[in-house]
This record gives sequence, structure tokens and C-alpha cells, in this order.
Amino acid sequence: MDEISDPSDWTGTRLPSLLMLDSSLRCRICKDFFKSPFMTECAHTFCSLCIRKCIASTPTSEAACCPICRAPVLEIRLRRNQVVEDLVEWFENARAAIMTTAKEEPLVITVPVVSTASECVSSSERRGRKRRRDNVDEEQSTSLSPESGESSSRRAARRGSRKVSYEVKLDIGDESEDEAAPFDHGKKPDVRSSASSKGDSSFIVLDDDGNPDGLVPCPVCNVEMTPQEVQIHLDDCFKEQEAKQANQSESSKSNGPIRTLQSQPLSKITKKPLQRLPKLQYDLFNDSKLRSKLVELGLPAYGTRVQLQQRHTEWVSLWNANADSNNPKTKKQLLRDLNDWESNLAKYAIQKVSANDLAAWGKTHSNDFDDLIARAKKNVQKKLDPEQQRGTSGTVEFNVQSQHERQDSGPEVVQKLDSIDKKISGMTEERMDYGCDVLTDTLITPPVSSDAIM
Amino acid sequence: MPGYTKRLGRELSDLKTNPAVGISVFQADDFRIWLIDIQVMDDNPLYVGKTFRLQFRFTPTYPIEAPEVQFIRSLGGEIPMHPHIYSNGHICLDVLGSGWSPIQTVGSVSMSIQSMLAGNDRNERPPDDARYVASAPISPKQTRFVYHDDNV
Repeated sequence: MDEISDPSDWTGTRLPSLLMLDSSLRCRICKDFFKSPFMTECAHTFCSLCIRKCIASTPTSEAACCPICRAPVLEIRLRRNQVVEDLVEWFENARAAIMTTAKEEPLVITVPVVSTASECVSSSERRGRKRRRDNVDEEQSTSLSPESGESSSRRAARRGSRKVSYEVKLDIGDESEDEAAPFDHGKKPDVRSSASSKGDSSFIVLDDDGNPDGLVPCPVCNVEMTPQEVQIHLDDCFKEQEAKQANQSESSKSNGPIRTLQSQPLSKITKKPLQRLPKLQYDLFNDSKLRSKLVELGLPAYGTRVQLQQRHTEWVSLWNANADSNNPKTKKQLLRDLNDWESNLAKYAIQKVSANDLAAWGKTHSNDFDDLIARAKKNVQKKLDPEQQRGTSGTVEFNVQSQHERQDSGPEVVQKLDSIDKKISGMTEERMDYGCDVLTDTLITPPVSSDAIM
Repeated sequence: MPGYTKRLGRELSDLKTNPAVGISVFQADDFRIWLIDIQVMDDNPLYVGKTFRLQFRFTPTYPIEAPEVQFIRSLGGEIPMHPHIYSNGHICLDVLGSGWSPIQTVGSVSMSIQSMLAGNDRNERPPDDARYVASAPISPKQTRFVYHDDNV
């Protein structure tokens, strides 16, 4: 499971609602997270490579269509879906962390707090407290210190086990808060939750960095401040960031994820884009031209024409999808991918022939084979009657005659076409000869062997 | 790991964790051949109480190209009676040929076939069954089915 992630991984965790988010960030063709997502005109998004392969596999006589809605799709009309690409990137980055948190018992999350707490409380108890506490929170003062802001009832509960209140916020039925909780590591939602809980002390202590002073970092600029300040500061901070991006000015202290997210495309634009390869109309290329085309591209040029075409088609898809990628592979890596693809195909082809297919064919057509054998035997039987009267000379005559014919055909060769015709006819004669020889031999041998015995 | 095995791995785990009613994986030891058991869940008298075994064969071009799907007789199984299912197990269904789309999965194809059976009330084989079976290629994918009618 660690290598193959699946939306269903979320079922059974505390965040089952992430299943839909997870699955909608995946390509419907490869079922993996979008890689260089491209959008069709019908507004469906696929990996660049997937949709390109899909279009390339459509027979030239037919129009390629969207795998989802079957609307016509033109490769040239595909458009990059940058938002989805960023979404995937950040979701993938956070996924493992969210998953760990979602699978953990709430108790584990409280570990940083345990230093000040001592007892455990059952989750049902916690839930009960949570509800109570939500109400309390409304009226709570905005004090920062864990102790000072608490109502008397809370304080009483806390005295027994301080941990209780810390866990509470993380063990909630409410999804908006549930989803926020796992982001502990990523800082951002910390702010959201703590903002919503109006200075709830537990969140301050819960902070991953274990800031004892109760300060939380701003998710945008990472500057530490009290949760209340973050709430107010965040709006300004966002505006500030946007203004900065517009000016493309670099700020030394802002290293938050949002900045990187938005600045990324800008940096990419400056890169020289890789050239796309055009598709070929294979009918216009004869074998040698196609081979030289492949050599030109640095591809292996061996194999049958079908293999050459397939290799070229695959390469164009691989290459163009790679050109779409934000982190393009080197040509060497691409060539390795192509080689892997081809060896897979070859492996499959070998398996296909060697596997039960032949046996199955033999079985299903055994009646036909039996029939042919029976007919051949009958024919021989017919011939055999006059032959037996004349002895073995008949067959010899026949063989000599056919050989004679074949020799005759040799000198007559004038044109190439003729010679091919003769070759074919020669071959058929040979086969017929062979069949007769074998059959007559088998039928003639008994008297010979009986002679030998006598 | 080639792409198609990754996708099939996902499909397999999905089939096993969220099985559809009446569809179960009988055998999936590798990424070449899978056997899927299907049952028709409503009380269609033609199929009630019976389990049919579908064989999926995958190529490295899956899912861009359709898998090879047919019913097989194994362990006393039988080929369901249906005007679009030949007695050698070949199925005349557009999603297995020209109607294939790479977003289809083993589960969705199984479900299409399941509902194709569920919606049938004719206890008969295709009109050209004998002729087809006598000369059918091993792989149903090599057959260019002419879809007789879409009513069934």
C-alpha cells in the first residue's frame, strides 16, 4: 500500500470525507494523481501522457473522443490545467501527513502536551467535554495562557487531567475542524481552528513546534504571533503577498507554502519550453524513411514496420507529455521508459504465443484436423488401389515427374515476378510431394517389412 | 513497475475492499488473467442461483485498449443463455470492443455484463451461434462483432 495509494485508503480513517477529494485529484485513465494535467474541450482533465496515448491509439479512420463523455477531442486543443496541477502537488505533499494523523488515535496527537498532563480519558468522555467546551469557548476570554482563560468548571476538569482539553479539539465529528486538525504539521489550519475557537489555549500548546509561549506561526509568512493576531494578520498578509507576487519581489522572511505555490509558475515561464514532436502520417513514409526518421530522433531503428510505427507513436506521446511536465525527465530517462514499454510488449507477445493459446487452438480445432487427416487418408486409399497393382513403381514415377517439373521451372525464369510465382508453385508441389511420399511410404512399408521378416 | 500493473493493482484492491453486489474476484494471481464471478441478483428465472465466471485477459496496452473478456466454463460453470452471448463464451457487447473507453474498469465491465444479463428474458443464443463458434478466433477481440440489435 505504501507505493500504490488509493482513494479508498481514507475509508476507515477519521477523515473519510477526503476520499472524494483524493479521487477527484486522480486521472480516470491511470487512476493515479494527475501528472501534467491537461483539459479537453469538454472540460475533462487527464494526465498529459494518458490522454495523448489515448488519442494516439485511436485508429486514424476514427475521430478521437473523450474517454469520459465521448465528445470529439483534438490533441492540439488540449489545454494545461495549472490549478489542478498545483492542487495535486500540494495535496500529495500533505497526504502522508494527513493520513498518519487521520489514522492515529487522538491520544497520540496529544503527545506534546503529555509533558504537562498525566491521565488518559476515554474518547466518549472527551466528546462530551468537547460539546460543553464549545459553549464555554464562546464566552472565554482571549487570554493566551492555558490556565487563565478557563471557566471554573473547565478548570476543575482540567485539574484532574489537563490532557482532556487538548485532545478535545482534535476529536470532533465536525468535518471542517476534523480536516483542519491533521494539518498540524503544515501549520496553516492550526490557525483556522484556533481562530474558530477564539484563542483556545489547547491549540497553542498543541502546536507541533511545541512553542511554549503559546505563539503560532502565520501560515503565510511564518512570523510567530498569538492566534488572535494571526486571525487579523492573515488577511493583510495575503494581500501583502499578492502585491509582492505582482511585483515579483522577493522577501527574505516569507517562506510559507502559499508563496511557493504562486511563485512557481512564474519561475517556470522563464524556462525555455521543450519542443513538441509532430505526429507522422505513416502512410507517407516507406520503411527506410521511417527508419531514418527514428534514427534522427535517436531511437532504435530495428524491427518490423509495425514495431517502428508503434515505437514512434509511443515516443511522440512520451516526449510530448514530458514536454508538458514541470519537471521534465532527461532524454536518457525517456529512452529507458520507451525501452521498458517495448520489452513489456515483447514479453507479452511471447507469452501470448507460448501460453495456452496454441493448446487451446489445437483443442478447439481438433475436429478440423481429424477431418483433414481422414480426407487425406481416403485420397491415398483411392490412389493406393491402382498402385498396389503396379507395385511401388507408381510412386517413384510420380516423384520423378514432379521433380522434373520443378527443374523445368528453373530455366524458364525470366522475370522476377515469374520466379516468385514459380517458387510458390514449387513450394506447393513440394508440399504435395511430401504429403504423398509420407502417406505412400507408410502404406507401402508394411509389405517391405514383411518381406524382410520373411 | 509498468503503468498498467499499477492501475490493475488499484482496481484489484478496490474490487476487494468495495465489492459490488454479485461481483467477486475468483482469481487474480497476476496481471494477465483474472477470473471474476458474477451473479444476477434479481429473480430473473434464467440466471437465478447461478454463478458465471468471466475471464479478463490484459495486455500491456490496458487500459488504453480493452481487455479480452469472455465467459469460461470452469469447475462446472456454464455460459449464460443470452442472445448476445455465444456458446463459446464470447460476448457481443460494445464496451468490450468499439465502445471501450479507458475509464472503464474490471468492475464497471463486470457490472455492464451483469446488467446485460439481468435485463434479458430470452432463453436463446445468438442467431449465428453455430456458425460463429465453428470458426471463432481464440480471442473475442479479433472478432468484429456486428451488433444485431440494441434492444436486448
